[in-house]
Amino acid sequence: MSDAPDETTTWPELAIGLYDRLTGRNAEITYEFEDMEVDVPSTTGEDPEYAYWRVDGTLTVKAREKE
Amino acid sequence: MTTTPTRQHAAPPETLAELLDDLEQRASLSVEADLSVELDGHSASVVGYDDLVAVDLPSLPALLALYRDSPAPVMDAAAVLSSVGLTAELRVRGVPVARIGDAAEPGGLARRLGLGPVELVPEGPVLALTRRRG
Repeated sequence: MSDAPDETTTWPELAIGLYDRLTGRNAEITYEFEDMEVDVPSTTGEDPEYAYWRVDGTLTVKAREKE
Repeated sequence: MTTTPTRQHAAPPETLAELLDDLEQRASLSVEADLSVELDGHSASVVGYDDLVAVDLPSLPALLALYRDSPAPVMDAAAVLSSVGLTAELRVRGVPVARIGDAAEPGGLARRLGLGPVELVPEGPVLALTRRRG
């Protein structure tokens, strides 16, 4: 698709992208995982090793004022 | 109520330092979580209570495997957690053994052991080893 976002290539870029999705609209976002299986790369570089993660349950994230 | 501006045109951060600078201007995060996780064969539970995320592992070897296989170095993870106001507490069978992030108070022992900015709960590993299962 021509309007697809650029591929994320670094952990910081991925992190700030997720953060903006969470807080850009002052949103509360709930993720419900049902036996989600992920191969987590050790690095964003070439030939990473992968760790197998499986996640099940609920995660809710929202912004709060800095203390 | 204040709102957090979104990045519309700025280039995304490419380094940890840029990310931390970026997060410094933004709101903290609050996490509620009730997750069961399997990490390379090790089961764990993750429970979030606002600014504290507790990761409970079944054994010290499982904790060491998580430390070894973490996709982000502990120092980087600690810095990012602090910048968004979160603390991760690592537990073994319910016993706190270490904390990283905003409320952690790293000690000299962890640094000498090469663990980075980690607050070790001194009696935690002993209690975890001696606590009976279930």
